[in-house]
Amino acid sequence: MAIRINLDVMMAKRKMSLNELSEKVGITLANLSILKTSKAKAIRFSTLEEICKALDCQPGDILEFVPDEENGGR
Amino acid sequence: MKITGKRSITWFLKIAVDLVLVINIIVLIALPFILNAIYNSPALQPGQSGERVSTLWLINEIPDESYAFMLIFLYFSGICTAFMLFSLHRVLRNLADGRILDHANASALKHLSVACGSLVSAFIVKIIFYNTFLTMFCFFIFIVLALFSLILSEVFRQGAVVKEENELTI
Repeated sequence: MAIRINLDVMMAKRKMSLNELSEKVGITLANLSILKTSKAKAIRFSTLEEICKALDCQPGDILEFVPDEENGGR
Repeated sequence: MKITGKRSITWFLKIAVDLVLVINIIVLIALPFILNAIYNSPALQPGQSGERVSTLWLINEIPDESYAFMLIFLYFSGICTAFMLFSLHRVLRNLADGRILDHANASALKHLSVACGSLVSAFIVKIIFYNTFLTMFCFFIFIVLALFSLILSEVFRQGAVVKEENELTI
């Protein structure tokens, strides 16, 4: 996966739990968990907007591009 | 009436397919006896021309040496149809359970297509040795069914991929 999700890092910085974020963003815990564990195949702009609003951050703070070699060829 | 789900058309069709599958297996077990009865049937005894003519369109001429061929042919086609019905049962069970765009359906339909293809090959052999109108008719029906189920399996596979992607879009 070339795109890494740093949702847990931002959540730790904002001291926000998964439950709290799920309530603020309006998506289920299961979907948030899929996103956090990088199992998601795509993210809607509307979801990204809500996450950025809830965590008071930029999309770049959550999403990071990692070249495949650096990623261990995963 | 509902198309898919419990107590739907799919559910009733699954019961019908199960019933036909059971009959198929019973006929397969009793095949040598049934074939013996057909060969000894008074309707199939030699006529004025000395040839026995089937009223079932099973075979036009039934010389005694055709018995072994017919037994092997019917066993093979019986196993193929049992496999086809089982694949159809799997698809209908999934549809009745609400699993519509599923990889399991694509796989079952591919198996159905393979079984139809095997049946087509058996019919080609029968056309070469003991051709009848009904054999040719079944041959074309099963070619269409094999190709149609192959196309349908690809449709289900692509549907399952799209569904998976949609489910993993947050």
